[in-house]
Amino acid sequence: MKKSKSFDLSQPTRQSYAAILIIMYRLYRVIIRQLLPVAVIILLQGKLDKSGWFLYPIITIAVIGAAYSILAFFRYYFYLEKDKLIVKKGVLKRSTLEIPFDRIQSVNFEQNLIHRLFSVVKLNMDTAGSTGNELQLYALNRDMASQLSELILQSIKSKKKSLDISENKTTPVDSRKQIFGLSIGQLLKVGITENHIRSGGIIVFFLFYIWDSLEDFGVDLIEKGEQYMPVAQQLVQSMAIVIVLVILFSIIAFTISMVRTVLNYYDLKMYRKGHGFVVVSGLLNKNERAAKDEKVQILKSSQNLLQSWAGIYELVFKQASSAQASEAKSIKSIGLSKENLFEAEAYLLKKNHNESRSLKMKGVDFYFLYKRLFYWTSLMIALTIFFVYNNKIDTLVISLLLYSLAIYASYLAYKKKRYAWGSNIFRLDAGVFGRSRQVVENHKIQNIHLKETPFQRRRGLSTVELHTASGVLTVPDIKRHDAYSMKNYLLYKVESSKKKWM
Amino acid sequence: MSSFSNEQLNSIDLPRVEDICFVPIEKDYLKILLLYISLSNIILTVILSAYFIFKPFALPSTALYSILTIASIRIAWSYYSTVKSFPHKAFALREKDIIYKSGWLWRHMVTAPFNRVQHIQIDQGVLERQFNLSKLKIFTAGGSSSDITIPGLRPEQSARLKQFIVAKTALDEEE
Repeated sequence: MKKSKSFDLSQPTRQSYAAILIIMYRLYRVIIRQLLPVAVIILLQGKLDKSGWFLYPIITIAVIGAAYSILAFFRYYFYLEKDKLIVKKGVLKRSTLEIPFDRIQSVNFEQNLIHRLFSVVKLNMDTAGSTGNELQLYALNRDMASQLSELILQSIKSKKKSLDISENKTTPVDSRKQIFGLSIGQLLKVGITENHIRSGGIIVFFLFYIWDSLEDFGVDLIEKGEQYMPVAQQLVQSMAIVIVLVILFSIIAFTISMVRTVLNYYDLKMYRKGHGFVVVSGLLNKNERAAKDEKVQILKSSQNLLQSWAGIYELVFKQASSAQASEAKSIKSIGLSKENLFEAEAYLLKKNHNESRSLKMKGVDFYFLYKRLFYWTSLMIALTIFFVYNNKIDTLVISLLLYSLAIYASYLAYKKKRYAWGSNIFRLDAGVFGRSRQVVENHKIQNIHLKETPFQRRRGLSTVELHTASGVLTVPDIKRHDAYSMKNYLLYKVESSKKKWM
Repeated sequence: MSSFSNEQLNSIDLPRVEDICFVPIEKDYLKILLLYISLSNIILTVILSAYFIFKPFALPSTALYSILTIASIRIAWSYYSTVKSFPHKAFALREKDIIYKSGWLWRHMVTAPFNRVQHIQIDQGVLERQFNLSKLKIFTAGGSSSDITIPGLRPEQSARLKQFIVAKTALDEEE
């Protein structure tokens, strides 16, 4: 391996000067976020006179923030000592952090726009511990960062080697093989097939957030709204406006998903590196996330309805973490073809990957559907009585339409809920309009729960929950006999396995 | 590197969870449970009686009757279900795992293999100390919702169980 420049990391070292800017940026962002509602109020109430008094506090805050960032930078040192990374920091309260290398789970690089301008990287280190235990070095020279991560990973590896015999020695550590790259055309495909309803949800949440903040500051929107109510009523009554609003909402939702997709997944590349996967993506913030094979507990591939029409898949590596399957620990790759999926699966599951396809999938009991039909129908009967009583037939028609949609969705969920276990792998399929598939290696199961409600017991059914270090796989409403034989078999597999689950 | 070769196994020959003889937990624990329930019921009763004594605000009589009915059903049910479900709390220790089951109407059974146990903890609350009881908590990496808590064990018993499981996990790591 060529090294452009070697750094002495045993000496206390500061970060790159770009860190000042980044600390400042983070600080300002927090301040602005806190003050945003106030700013909205001031604008709304039109109290912004021309004297410019409001500039002084802003300037003061900005100057203090800048001074703080510079101080924070000069007081932040890190260095290596034996097998430990030591960080000294703190402006008012000084603190020293000691992180033994073997506690570091993974080292991730990240670059946002500022990082790119100064060609530095941010280093995220996950430690085995609760969330908030992560260590971040805001800005490091690229060479220094790779030297540091190399040193840490090397040291972990040499320690692990002596314990771990199952390590496959054929692949060199540094070789990177691209499994998948997302082209611009595919990126658009990904954007178009995003879950737009979720994006719409973001708008709604944003409106609620603004609403909430305004109320906190004493602006009574309802009171204000009432002044405009007669006008609004007239507007809402006209169907055309409603349609326009719906279209507008859809366009905004669509635009948000497109922008989000481009920001998050621009130039997405998935690599196989050593005994793990690396996913790099992002337009402004370039994210590099890595997942080691042994840390990946659940492999989840999924398609929503639009994605299944376009024939693309989403792939998530769910990694073990103490804070169960939080977003940060799941590594997502999107826009994959079926072949890409196969390849990733083949790498991860090695010789067992064919098994996941040859398994004979079983469906769940009819009770799964019956339960849902029962809920929805009772709700519908109650609503019908209510609407007929209040003479609101048009609302009744709408709710009947929604009811049939719910029934259809329940039926699809019932049809698509399928499970199977084999000698090395457990697989769970699910979906409503889309579909998903989760695969877990048997020896990665942590414990097994068996549950029975009184209603299930009458029908001789059970629910099985397989708990792993990155979430639960629930197999609902299956025959008790099946549940027990599955549990017995999987327990036998876990207990007789000599493989490390992580 | 799999040292296991007998992959094809008839599932009938496998050790069966359903044939196990479960060990019930100590009867004294029921007293603790009943004490806790009584405490919450007393609080409920105090709040209700406070209303009838002071009448801070008026309520329609139908609402009052339904509140009273619901409250008395709740109180009766809490005792009945606790007593009914108590015999279902039991555990079983096997060579390679520990099982804890509970629940009368809503049944629940957890099995934790020893080779997945992260750590074990023995807890003793104030009331438990009075009755000479303790709780054994078994943690795996499966997340907080999946940890096993076995209540109503004599402290010696908890300690023995803990030692047994720790020895098993240590043995497992050596291999």
